Amino acid sequence: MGHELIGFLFPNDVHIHWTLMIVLYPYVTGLVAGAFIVSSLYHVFDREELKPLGRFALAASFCFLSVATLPLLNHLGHPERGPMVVVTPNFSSAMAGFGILYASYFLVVILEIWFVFRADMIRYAAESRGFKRMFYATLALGVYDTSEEARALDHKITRILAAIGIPMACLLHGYVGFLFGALKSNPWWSTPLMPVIFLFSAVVSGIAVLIVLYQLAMKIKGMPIERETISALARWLWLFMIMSLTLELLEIMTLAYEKAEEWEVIGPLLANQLSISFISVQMVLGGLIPLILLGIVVVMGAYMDDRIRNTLSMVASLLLLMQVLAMRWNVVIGGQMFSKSMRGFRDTYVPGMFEKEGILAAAAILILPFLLLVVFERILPTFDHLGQKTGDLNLDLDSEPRLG
Amino acid sequence: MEPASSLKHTKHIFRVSFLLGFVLIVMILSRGLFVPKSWGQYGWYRGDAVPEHRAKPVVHGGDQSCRECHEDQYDLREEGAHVGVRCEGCHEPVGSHVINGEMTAPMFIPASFELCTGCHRRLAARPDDFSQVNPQQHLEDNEMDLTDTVCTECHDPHSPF
Repeated sequence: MGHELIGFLFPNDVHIHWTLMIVLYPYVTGLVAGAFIVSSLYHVFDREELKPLGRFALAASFCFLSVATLPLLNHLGHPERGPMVVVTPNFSSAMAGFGILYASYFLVVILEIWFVFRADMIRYAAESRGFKRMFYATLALGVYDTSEEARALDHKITRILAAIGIPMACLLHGYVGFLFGALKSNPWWSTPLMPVIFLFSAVVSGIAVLIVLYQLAMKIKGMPIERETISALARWLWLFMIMSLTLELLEIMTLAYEKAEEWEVIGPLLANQLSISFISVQMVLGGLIPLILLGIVVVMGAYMDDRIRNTLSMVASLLLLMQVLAMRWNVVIGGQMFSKSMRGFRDTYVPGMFEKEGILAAAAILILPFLLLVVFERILPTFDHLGQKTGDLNLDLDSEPRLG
Repeated sequence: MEPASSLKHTKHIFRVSFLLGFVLIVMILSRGLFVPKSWGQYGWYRGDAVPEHRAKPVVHGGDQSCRECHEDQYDLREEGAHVGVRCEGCHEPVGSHVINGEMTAPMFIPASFELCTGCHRRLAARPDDFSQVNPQQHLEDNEMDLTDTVCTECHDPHSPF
């Protein structure tokens, strides 16, 4: 018999049309922006403590970006029409903004990856033969110049690209928030704070996922987890989560204090339909607890054993990843739980397990970027450069492959 | 003019720029392939869509075409509460059943719970004098179990009361 309808709903407000896929879309996009900003902290602002993550964060950003459109394509159907948003933009539609921002951001990320890994590609080409050599030589576009001058130039261009990338990352994610913030018929969405909240929570989720992935990657590779790196990430994460949480709370407090007509519907929405996902998960379990855990890491970091620091920041990051997902859920699904009449609600929305846009499809899309990351790591290892000395590689591709 | 030596180590940059330029040009040129020829002829849509839609076979016939064979059902509905509901609204277009006066297939007879509750599930936004039920309550009151065709066990869709 399905859902219960409470109060006065317009007949066309009975269904949830924006499903779990639309929850995932800003979530995955947010991971991109956050990871990219961490990589830029190293490449642009020379935060040496983030050096171990400079390349990995870029690779993670690329992998998340590659799957960011999948939830939308699955939701809309006709995935073959997806690229049209880039090739044939309709400038009178807000979606054209997505096409342009997404495509140019993708370009910036790919170019930055190419310039960062170029010397590596040439080295791998020189060290291998046959198909593998051909593959890396093609990746390097057939130019084998690894002289000091060429690499200095690469460095300079990387820095410029990373600098261009920061405003683009902000725009891309701000834009996702804008899509919701610009829907004037829905008071739960239509606020100028929406793009800012989306942006900050995006950075939170991006840094959090890097803390988790960095620790896992070091465990798998048997490399040491750098104390400075984890401390720096925890500090940045704490800062951004405080800002993100503050903005989220400010929005609710403004609504609650003003008690304008929309509070009639938003108040009960938060107290009933979203009580678990908003109050329990987004604010307490995913907000307050990581705030305390990261606070301990930041304030008492100097006296702390590495293992405790790593565990605390790992737990806080996992909780924050859940918090940001809950925030996306509360925005996207919450905004559809009440009628435009402002007088009626649906009681629940539970996505099916095997539906086209159900839990299984969502899990598959969420796992995909991590698989991509494993493949990326295989082709272009992101941590190997840490142990190496820099200097002129002095490669001769016509010579026999070197051993070792 | 720059001395030639300053360009010595920029070969890879020229190559990646060339590749980028190539992709950009292909993208701009391919736009012509993807934008339909008749786009924008009348407005922000494909002009050819108009004759294409005009050329589609007419499948709906309206109530009068059903009445030609099913006058008894038509009259029953005219006198009942469903007088405002068109035949093809619940059944299928007459074209799926009769073409040029010849019956081609039996008509679809809908009787599903979902179809009925689409209009008659209780919703405060609907007018008070419109027949609405809370399906669960209604079934309990009449001591019936939920089946797909439970509504039509008591109600005749052509004249529900």
